[in-house]
Amino acid sequence: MLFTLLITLFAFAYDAPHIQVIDLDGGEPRHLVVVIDGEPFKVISIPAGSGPAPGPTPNPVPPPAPPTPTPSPIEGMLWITYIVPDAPSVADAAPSSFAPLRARIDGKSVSWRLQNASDAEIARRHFEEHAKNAPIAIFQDATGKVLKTIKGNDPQAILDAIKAYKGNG
Amino acid sequence: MPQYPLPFHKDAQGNSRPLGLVPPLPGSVVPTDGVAFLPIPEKDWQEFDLTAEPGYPLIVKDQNGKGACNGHATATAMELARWLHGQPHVPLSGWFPYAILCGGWDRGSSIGEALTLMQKTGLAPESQVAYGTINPTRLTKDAYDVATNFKCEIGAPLETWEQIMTAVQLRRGGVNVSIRVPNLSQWEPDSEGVMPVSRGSGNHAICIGHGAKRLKNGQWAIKWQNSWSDKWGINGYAWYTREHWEQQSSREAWAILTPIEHAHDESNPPVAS
Repeated sequence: MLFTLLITLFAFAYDAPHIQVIDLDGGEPRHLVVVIDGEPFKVISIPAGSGPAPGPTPNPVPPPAPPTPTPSPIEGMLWITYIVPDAPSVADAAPSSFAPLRARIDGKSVSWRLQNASDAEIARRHFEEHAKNAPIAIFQDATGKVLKTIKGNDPQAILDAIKAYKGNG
Repeated sequence: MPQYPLPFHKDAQGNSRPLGLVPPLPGSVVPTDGVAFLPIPEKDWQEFDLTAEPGYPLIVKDQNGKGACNGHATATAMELARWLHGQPHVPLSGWFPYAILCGGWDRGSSIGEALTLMQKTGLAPESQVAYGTINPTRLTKDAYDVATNFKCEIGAPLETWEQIMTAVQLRRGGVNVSIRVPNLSQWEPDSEGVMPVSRGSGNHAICIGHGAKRLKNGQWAIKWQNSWSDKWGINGYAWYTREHWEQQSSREAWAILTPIEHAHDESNPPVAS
């Protein structure tokens, strides 16, 4: 604060010149004009390539992802149907024997079905479109309304969604 | 040809255990078309044990004194498939399929016939069939009616160890497979739960697929459930290896991939709206 005050007083006392540098064209080679107290003082030419390297071209910033809706707790049975592809991998089979997930399926407030994409049950339950994205977990309430889907074979993601809808049990 | 009476084995408790797996009669097995297994490479195999999981509901059955191993392995395979698919546990009768397949004579049955039966007729709950029934005329119409709710929708015969392990790794149902029980007074699991291997025709049907693990020698083994009560083996279970499969001069296996959904079960999932 004191330093700023001293500089200001010095500038008033000695009437320091006002210096401007104007870039005439912005390209290369560069042509600069130095202006002192409003009068052109000197023209400077800077050869191409001698200036600082241009910065990286800024990448377009992707729009922010829409926020994932946080499931609200529901009353009644929560149904999870996990559809595996017809030629599944071992990882695709993991959710059906993931112990924490198994422990949360009680058949009272949370029920589970494993089905493969060509199962006749898929058509009866109108899941043909979902089955094209197998492996996929489909969450339904007791009326059959589809609440959410999770693509992939991550049992923890399925368990997290169950907890969001039905708590820890 | 069917054997009568069946050869038997005495278990550690001194129980007589008839060995009722026989080769299929010509024309008795309908090929299951359109289901092919793409073997999963060994590097992707995982260890697991379904019997240690929360809520595991299966109880070891007892074919006490009859050659009904195939019926009991079939019922166990369906129970396992239903549990893995999230369907309510219903104890299924091993006597229902055996009575139909053996026609009232305790002469054994073949594994392939059981898959055909399960796809056409289904399996009845234990509550519908008196324990020890092998006379098909004593099966009630109700038992047949209810059995339609416990059919196998998709099943597949298996021919190689890699196909068997693939079916097990995919954890979609039990695998009914043959094993050779040796002519020994004792046939007990070793320290890792593996039964001694014997050469010859498969003479016993078992349900495998309850788990998988790598043994100390690097080989893989599959957990299986016998039908000689929970007093046999390790609480009724043991482990099955490639050698058990490949040392048999005749052998059979199939897997349940999809059990049918119980059409009138109130516990059915809702239809999407």
